[in-house]
Amino acid sequence: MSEEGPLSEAPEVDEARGHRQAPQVDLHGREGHTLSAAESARIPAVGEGWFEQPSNINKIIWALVAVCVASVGADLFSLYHKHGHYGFQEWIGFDAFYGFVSCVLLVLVAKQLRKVSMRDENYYD
Amino acid sequence: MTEGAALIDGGARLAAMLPPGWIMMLGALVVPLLRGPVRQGWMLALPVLGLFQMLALPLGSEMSATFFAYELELLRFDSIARAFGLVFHSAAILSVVYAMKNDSALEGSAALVYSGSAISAVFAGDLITLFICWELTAVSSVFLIWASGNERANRSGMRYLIVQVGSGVLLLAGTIIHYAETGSLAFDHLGLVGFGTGLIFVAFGIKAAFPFLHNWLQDAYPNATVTGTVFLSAFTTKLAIYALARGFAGTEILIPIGAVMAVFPIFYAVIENDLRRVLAYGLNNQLGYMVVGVGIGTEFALNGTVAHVVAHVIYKGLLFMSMGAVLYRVGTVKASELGGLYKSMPITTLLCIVGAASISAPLTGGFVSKSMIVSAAAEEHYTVVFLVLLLASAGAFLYLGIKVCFFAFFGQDRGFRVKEAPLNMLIAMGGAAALCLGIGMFPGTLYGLLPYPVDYVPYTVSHVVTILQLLLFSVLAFAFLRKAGLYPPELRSTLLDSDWIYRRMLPWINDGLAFAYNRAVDRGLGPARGLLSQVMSTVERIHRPDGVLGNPWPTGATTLWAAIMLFALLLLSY
Amino acid sequence: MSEHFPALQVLLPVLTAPLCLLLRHPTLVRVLSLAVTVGCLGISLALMEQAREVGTVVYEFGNWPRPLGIEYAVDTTNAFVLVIVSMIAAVVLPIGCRNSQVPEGREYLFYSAFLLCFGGLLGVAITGDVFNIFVFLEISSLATYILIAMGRDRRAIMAAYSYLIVGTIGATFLLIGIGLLYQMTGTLNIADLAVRLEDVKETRTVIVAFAFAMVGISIKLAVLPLHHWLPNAYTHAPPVVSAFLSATATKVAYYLMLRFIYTILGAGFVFDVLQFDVILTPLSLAAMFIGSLAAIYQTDFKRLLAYSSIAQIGYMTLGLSLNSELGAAAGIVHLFNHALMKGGLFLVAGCVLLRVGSTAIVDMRGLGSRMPLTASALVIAGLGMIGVPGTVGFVSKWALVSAALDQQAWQITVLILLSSLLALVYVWRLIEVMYLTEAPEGAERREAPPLYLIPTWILVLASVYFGFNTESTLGVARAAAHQLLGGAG
Repeated sequence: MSEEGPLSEAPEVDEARGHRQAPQVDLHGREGHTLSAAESARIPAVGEGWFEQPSNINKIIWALVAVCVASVGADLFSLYHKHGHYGFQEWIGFDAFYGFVSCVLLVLVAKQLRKVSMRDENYYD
Repeated sequence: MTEGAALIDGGARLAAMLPPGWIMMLGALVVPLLRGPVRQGWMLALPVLGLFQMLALPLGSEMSATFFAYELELLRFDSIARAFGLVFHSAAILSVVYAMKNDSALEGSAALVYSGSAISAVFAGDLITLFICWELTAVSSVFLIWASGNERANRSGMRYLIVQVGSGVLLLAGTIIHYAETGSLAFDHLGLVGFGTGLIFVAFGIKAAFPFLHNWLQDAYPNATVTGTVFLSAFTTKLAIYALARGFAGTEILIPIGAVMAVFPIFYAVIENDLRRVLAYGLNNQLGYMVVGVGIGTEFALNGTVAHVVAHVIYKGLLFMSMGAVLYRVGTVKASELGGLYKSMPITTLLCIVGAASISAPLTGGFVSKSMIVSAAAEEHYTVVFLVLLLASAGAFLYLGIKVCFFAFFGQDRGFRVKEAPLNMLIAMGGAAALCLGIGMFPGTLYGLLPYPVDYVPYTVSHVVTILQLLLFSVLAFAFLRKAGLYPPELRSTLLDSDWIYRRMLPWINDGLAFAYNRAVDRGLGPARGLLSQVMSTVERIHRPDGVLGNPWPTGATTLWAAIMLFALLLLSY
Repeated sequence: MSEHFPALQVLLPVLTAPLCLLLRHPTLVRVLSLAVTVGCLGISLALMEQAREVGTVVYEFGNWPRPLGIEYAVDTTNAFVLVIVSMIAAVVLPIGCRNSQVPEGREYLFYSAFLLCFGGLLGVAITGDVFNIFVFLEISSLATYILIAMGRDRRAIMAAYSYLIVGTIGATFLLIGIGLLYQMTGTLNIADLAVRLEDVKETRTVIVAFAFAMVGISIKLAVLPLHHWLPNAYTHAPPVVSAFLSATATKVAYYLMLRFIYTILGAGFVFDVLQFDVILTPLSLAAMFIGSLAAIYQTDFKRLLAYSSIAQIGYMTLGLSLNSELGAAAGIVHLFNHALMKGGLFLVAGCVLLRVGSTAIVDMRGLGSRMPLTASALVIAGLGMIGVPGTVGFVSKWALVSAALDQQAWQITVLILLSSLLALVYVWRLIEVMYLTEAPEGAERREAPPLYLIPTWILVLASVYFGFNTESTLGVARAAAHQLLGGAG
């Protein structure tokens, strides 16, 4: 990708609020990228978005935990008839447990894979 | 008015004489001659027309042509082909809308020929027609990669082309051997019965990205253009799934192959940095489900496969579109560079979340389709496969869906401030999202299109709650790993995959062999090598315009030759 | 009327030629010649219909029965050749004598020579009398020398001169062969010869007659060691003439070889007793490779095409040397297919010569952007030369390979495929020059005029169309071969 010279079509950004310009790359048919000052001003500064507040993040996590507990609770109190092809599918919280453990395992294995297979970004160049 | 009507009627009749897909292929040839809005309208009209033409065909339609002594079945219109045709046309329409602003004539034509040839391949009733369409998809689609116009894409495209054409060559070789063995060119159920069908199986396997044959996919798709990847993600691999379902349904070896395919790409997806490549790994993982479904081969499993193809083409297209929009606006899709884009691109964020959810969440396409394959595995008592697919469901949702949304749109704000995606991209993504949700909420329509009758009920309380448990706890695991600092950071990197074999090991072996060869040549074969180069230079010398054979001889020489030939003829007869 | 078609087929062009000399008016002559070629095309198609219905259409001049009178006999094989010759003439003649040495206002000379050459070739193909063959061959050859000498380069005269000498030797050899046959049988009629030769076949005179006739025809056909006249003649002739000759002259010679071997002498005698294939097979294979290799190293586009023609003639004679119905059919169908491809390519060379002023390959740099329509025509016809599926080249290769496999000749199959790779190399060289190198500084970006482009594209598109519709080519060729081999017993 070729770097354009001066950023003629660069969006107007407010650097004081941590805003950055997107890298100018040569993409076919790219047009109308200029961001007006008004548009830029409407976008919250870095660190000020709703999803960036630690308190909000905690809220989300607690909400997630609550929903998770509720879904297993449904099993625990037999709120519905649980059925599956295999017996183990009907254990309380089987899918919850299986999902959690699978994901953790996948990540831990993948981290090991990284040791073997990760190379510099321009390895093949 | 009547004249206009007659013209339309005539056009319709003409179109009816063409097998589906041909309208797009032939229409694509006109694209370079058009400009501006006319071209945009024409490019959109072609797949729409093609869709109407296909819908007008009654089930069981046939069309054939004679090529040499062979009867080619250009059209076989049954319910399985119809389902693939329908989703391919829809994907083509959405992708064309997405690519509306792309003014490259080459890319436009290539994309239409590519889509059209994939559609005609689905309707091919014999192996020769299939082969022709197969190679056409390969040759046309490579331009979507080369259109990126950088060195990396050029080389990647060349590797892609070699693999794809290689698959076609295997298909042709297998077809010829199969024909010699059985005398049949029909593309019906083949089964792994001989050497010929074995070659065909490998040819399909390459396109379906079987483990160790897969890497062209992750290599090429992230190097295609913004719009090109969207086209690519829809057709090539799903065409291979179609071919497997048609030719090798119930071939048991496919079940372990598919199970491995469903899991191993996830590991790579977790640590890959380029988000379009993450999606390519995800594509590979979902193909694993389809291959398992084909391998099980019961009516229920095949229904599940077809249904999952339909849902998958749409939501994977949506995910590639949203990452394409990010690339278009920001200029990169490296997870290590991105974050916080929800502030700048809220609509894209929302649509991407719909696409990610569609991998398996209730009320989306993935929920009603993928669960059919998982249930089919359980019904046929493939316990290990069932557990593997369940694991892959959790993993895929998390690392292909959540990861992509999280790192692109949330996570740490890197400060990029860009515009929302262009309107045409938003329309295409909106259409795809609506389809995802529509399929998920009203699965009856999808089920009605499947090749066999369906009596599967996806929405039972038990099913919804268990899947929710699986998905919610996957997300919880993600949150836990992030909080505990166990989640691997996104790093700019290249991951070694099976492509390392041909990009590094083979060159090394080659260099090694060349070295050994040169040593051997220097030691003992020096004279032989000298002879070879002497032969080559002699060949050139005598064939050059000033050489003996490249230069017209004097008349006398010809006369002499005439005498020699006369003499030889006389000598022979005595 | 239609019963006189065989006579009209030849008389029309041969009689119009002197008429052109009398009329002299450029436009009038041009229109008249065009009308004659188109008329001949119609007649040849009608004859093809008749021949396919009745087997052999026999036309006796003045109602004198054979062997006294001269008769024209049209079966599927020569009807096919007649169609090829008149089709190519009708397509290329509209371009006329541009790019040649013909002075303004003297075009009638070109047209009358062209019509004589055309009529002579038709005559060779249609007649059922061996002496008549010699006469028509001389008519067409003499006209050909004139046409070649019209090339705008002075080297054209030298090329014409050396072709004249070699061609005359060939004609003389043929005449000696015919004379010896006449001496043994007392007849010149082909059908009659075949019958009367049965008794005297094993005599030395007939063997010598055969040897002389074959060498004579081989010169006209440019079989490998006797090919030297061809590259110069095709390179220096005006483009239309190169296109016409490459597509027709060697084809008619090939037809003669078929006729002598299968109808007059009989395949059993030629291949089993005389073992002609022992000579013809290696020569064909050598032609395939030497022709293609020489084409690879040429620096001039037209000369490259000429050498490629030598290789293609190798394919045709290879089909013949397989001595089977399939092999003969492969040769016959390649007559048609090669005429389309090579005719188209020489017309492309005409376009290049017109706009670039030279056909040197270095001067064709960047042609893909300078003359996109011309360059793409070259690419499509070039794909045909390689034998890519969907082109006529593939149909020919397919027919030839299946004929070779039918004879269990694996090694020949492999060699055919290898030589196709050589075609890939020389076509790729052209593509590389046209599309992957920059145009020279100050090069004109100007497409050839429609007058050139339309005939070129007709041939190129036909080469794609007949790559798919094989019934009217391969089907007819198989029927022709069947009739030829069946009839000769």
